[in-house]
Amino acid sequence: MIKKILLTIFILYELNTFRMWNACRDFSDKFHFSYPQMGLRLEDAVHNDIGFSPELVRLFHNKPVFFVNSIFSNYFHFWDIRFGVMFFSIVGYFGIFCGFWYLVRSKFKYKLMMLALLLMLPLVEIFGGSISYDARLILISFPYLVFSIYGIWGFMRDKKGKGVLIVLGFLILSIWYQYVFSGDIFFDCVKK
Amino acid sequence: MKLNKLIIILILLLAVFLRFYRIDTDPPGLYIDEVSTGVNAYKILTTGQDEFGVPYPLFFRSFGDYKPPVYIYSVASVMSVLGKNELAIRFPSAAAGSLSILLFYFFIKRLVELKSNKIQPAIKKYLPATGMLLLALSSWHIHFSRGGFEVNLALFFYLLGCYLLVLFWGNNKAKYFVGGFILFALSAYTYHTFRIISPLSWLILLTAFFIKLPKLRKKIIRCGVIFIILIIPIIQFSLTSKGSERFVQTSAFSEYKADTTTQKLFVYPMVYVKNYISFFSFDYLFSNGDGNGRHQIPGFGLLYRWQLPFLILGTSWLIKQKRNAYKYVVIGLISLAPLPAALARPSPHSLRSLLLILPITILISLGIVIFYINLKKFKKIFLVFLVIIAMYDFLIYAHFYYNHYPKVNALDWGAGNKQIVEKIIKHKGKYDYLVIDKNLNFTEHYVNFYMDSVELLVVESSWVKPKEWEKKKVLYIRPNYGNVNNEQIIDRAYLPGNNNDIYAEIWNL
Repeated sequence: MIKKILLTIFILYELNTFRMWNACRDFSDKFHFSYPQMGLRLEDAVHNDIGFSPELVRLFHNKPVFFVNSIFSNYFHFWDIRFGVMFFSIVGYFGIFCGFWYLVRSKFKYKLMMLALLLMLPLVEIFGGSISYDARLILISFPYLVFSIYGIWGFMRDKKGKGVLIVLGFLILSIWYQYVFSGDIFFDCVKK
Repeated sequence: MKLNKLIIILILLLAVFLRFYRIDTDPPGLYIDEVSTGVNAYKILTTGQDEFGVPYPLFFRSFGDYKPPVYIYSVASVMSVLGKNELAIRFPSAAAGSLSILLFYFFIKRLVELKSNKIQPAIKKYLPATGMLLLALSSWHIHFSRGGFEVNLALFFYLLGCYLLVLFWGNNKAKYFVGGFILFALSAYTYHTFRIISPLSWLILLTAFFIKLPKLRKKIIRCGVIFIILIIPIIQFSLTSKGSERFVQTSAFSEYKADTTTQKLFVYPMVYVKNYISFFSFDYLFSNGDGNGRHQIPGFGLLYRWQLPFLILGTSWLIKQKRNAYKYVVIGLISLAPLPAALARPSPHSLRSLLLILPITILISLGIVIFYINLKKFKKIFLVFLVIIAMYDFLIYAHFYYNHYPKVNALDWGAGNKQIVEKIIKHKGKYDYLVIDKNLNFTEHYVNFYMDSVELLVVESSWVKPKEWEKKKVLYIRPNYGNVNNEQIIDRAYLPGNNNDIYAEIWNL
């Protein structure tokens, strides 16, 4: 019973975090891949290679490597703990990781497909600049929210009384944290 | 067995090479703290006093804070052999960094061999050498080993202390216990963050051993007291205004407005939480580091990106383990490392959290070894593939470190100041007064380091030659404020590298 009550509070609180997402007009540039910017960085890097043979310059500075690095850089921002605790809250972010933990360990038939889908969701934001922010918002935030609920529920069931206490502790910490640092979301997004 | 020894020797040689190759010119200059260390070390060596005339101090007055003594005395002893130069200042850090690689091998080896561990023989076999290799190639560790950073020496003492305590765990010999805590105390005298990390480690380990080894309780208490006696001076000093000066300057709480005690109690814990978790940010670890040009190459994280899946694998494997010694040690080190650093700003900070590199490297190594031993097929293909990716990533890092970094981040390392001093020496005897523009940050200290007791005047950029100096010759050094073609400019100091960027103009007034 306590678990269900706590889960309900958690869901209500997580729905409340949508306020954060809704306060934004768009994510900041660091989340978006930009081909011209990548080109500029590449050009800048090549300029420092005076005296090197063209083959060596190409070995270190080429489009495939810069492309992969840029995508990684954009992608890591989504999994950054500082982004996570603001947009999903501390308990929500913890729930997402628990979700991955329990999904990997489960015997669910389509778990690999689901994992791949969840891991690839941020690509919508990285490449989907032309899609409206609201659509991207629903595409990205909603699945993670559901997944976070799955993770928290799994954790509370798995760890029993200790799990309930930990989730409760995280929940209090989340409310406290978001109250103090509510303005920090604008490091990651553009104000409406 | 012979092959194993050969591998260890080769990795060690690689580590030494990566930490010492062109260490005097890359990074491309001494940064201001290195200069301060050099000046004090040289004064101690030649006069037995620091730059302010205090004989053999326990804490060295520096720019706005007091430096712990061990690194400065180490540099002084190296200077007695190598002379007053860049190599002498960086040598203790590079040597400690190289020795840490070997020590890390033995530390992991002893840790996984503890009887209380239930661990697969294959992990015991492969983990120490894998960890050693990864630490040897770690861009984070290489970077801080190549500058005159005290933290690297402190990390070496702390690791040696941990190693001795693991030995004690295995055989309960008191000498290892005492030795371990003496080294913890030594690390506290080497770098600021270990003033918190070492006592905390002491407290945790003392409690753990006290509970686990009831027969040795008296011995444990007696040995534990030695640590307290050793760190009494540092505790006393930390409680004075001088000792807490650095903390006050860099306090993470100072930038948040909280006037009343209630406000402070409400805001400060969350500031600390925010800073603490920032050390586990993916962007910090894998993409951009802490953003300080002196701490990493721009655009590079502290870890290589290919290591991420292995870090996740190693971490999840460790979480699943039952109560084992290495689990406690790794989790303990991960939790401890950011504790003091989170009190300061900016956060995260790769220098202050260097200790994190040890548990993270163990986790990545675990990930690689577990993946390898669980592969039923294609083991060789996996190894070849991994080596190619790791080598390529490392070569890119090395290329950026030796070619791009000295040009792009020259100013972060105080480059150009040595070139100014060379110009001053070149024009020696041709002037009565030496005047330096304040906007050339700290140049006077570089002059002080490279040339002994030179009289000079530091002035604002609006300075004009006073009338009473009309008949005197002045060598005036100022930044390049623009393209001024003035006959009074007799020389220029350029930044090192082939960009021909002017750093300063030498005027004859």
